[in-house]
Amino acid sequence: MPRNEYQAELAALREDVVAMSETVAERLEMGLTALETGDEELAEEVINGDDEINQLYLDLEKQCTDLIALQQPVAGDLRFIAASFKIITDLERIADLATNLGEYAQVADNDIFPSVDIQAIGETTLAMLDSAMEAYAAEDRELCYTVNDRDDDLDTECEIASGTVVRELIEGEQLDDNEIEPFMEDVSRLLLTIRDLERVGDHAVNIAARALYMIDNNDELIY
Amino acid sequence: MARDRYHDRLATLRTDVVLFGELVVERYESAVAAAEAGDLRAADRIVSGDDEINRRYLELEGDCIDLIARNQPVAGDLRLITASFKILTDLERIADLATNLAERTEYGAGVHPAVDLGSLGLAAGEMVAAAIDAYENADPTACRGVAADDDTLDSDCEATTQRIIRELLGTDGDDDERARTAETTTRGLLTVRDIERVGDHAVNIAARTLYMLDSDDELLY
Repeated sequence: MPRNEYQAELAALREDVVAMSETVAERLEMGLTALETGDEELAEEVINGDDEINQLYLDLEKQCTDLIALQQPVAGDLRFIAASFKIITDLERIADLATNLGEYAQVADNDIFPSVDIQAIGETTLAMLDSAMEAYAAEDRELCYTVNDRDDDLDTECEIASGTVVRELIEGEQLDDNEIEPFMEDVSRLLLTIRDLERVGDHAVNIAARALYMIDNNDELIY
Repeated sequence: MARDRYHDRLATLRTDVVLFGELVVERYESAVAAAEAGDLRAADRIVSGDDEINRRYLELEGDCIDLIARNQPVAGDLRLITASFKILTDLERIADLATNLAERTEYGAGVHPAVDLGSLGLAAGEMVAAAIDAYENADPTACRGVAADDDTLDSDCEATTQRIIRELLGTDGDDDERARTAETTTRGLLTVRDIERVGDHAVNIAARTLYMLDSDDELLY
């Protein structure tokens, strides 16, 4: 393959990974909206869309290994492809978490504790994903650190949210026996939602960490 | 590079990944034991050992990339290397979760009365060990076994979470007692979450192994 074709393939990989992230971000937004509105059709759409993401993921993975095997890239190019290879795993996992949100939206009443602002937490995770992908696409090392710092805030937000649930439970009034089961289900779903959003943030950090490793061979954020 | 040397390197990679996996399982099991017994000294050892795991992780990852770049592997060989590359990530994350458990260890105290750490924690560890065995022995049936075990682990984790929450309903006591209850509850919930995540990583390893063996993506997502 001529050199310029190889360069074009590298550029195409970058664009395809960014395009995948945009689809994933869209699914995450849809999952969050479904939670907020209880829109079961939207939830269904997120869940059904996961196959498409999975296919995209394996296609991109093949694109990466083909490039490595056929072009024997070195140094910077190799790091870029290896980073892409890892980043798509994180994107695929975020899409799985979006699917979880869709599933919670179908079964749970997510408004049991209005003081827990799931949408605000969701906005943070979307912004982190966006920055992490920008860091990868534009090779912006500062932005990698920004995402990492932002994750500390997200973790705090999530901790406060879980803490609020616990406090509301301690201070809440006694329930009748027949109210307890459905209430427990809702509480579980809410805790799982918080946990999953926190996980989205972790994946965004993984992406930023890989981007930094690609840009500077700096493994500071990888662990 | 001679063909023989290439095959030696593939065999070495497989062995190295298995050894790394065994090291991670050992760390995780020690972390569970430390959290259960409230053994701070053992917990500290796990936390400070994480650097070593991280270094080894990037070394092995470098081996994978090197093998692909130098040898242009195809078909089964390529699948072995890419599987190894992905499995290493899951192993490193399991070690991170072991570190979480260790960091949350409280002197002389267990995790939470509603959390049966012995059975829940060790079940997840056994899944990881089984997934590594499946990779080592190229055993598709064992891969599916790990996925099935994860359904059990998930429902056990869910039931434990429900028990933790249920204990909160109608808690009495003054502000101090309530603060302590909130703290113990949070620790219990986080511990269950981390154990469940260890199980997820075991499934990822099994899924990658199955994909490597049969090009079967059934468990991958």
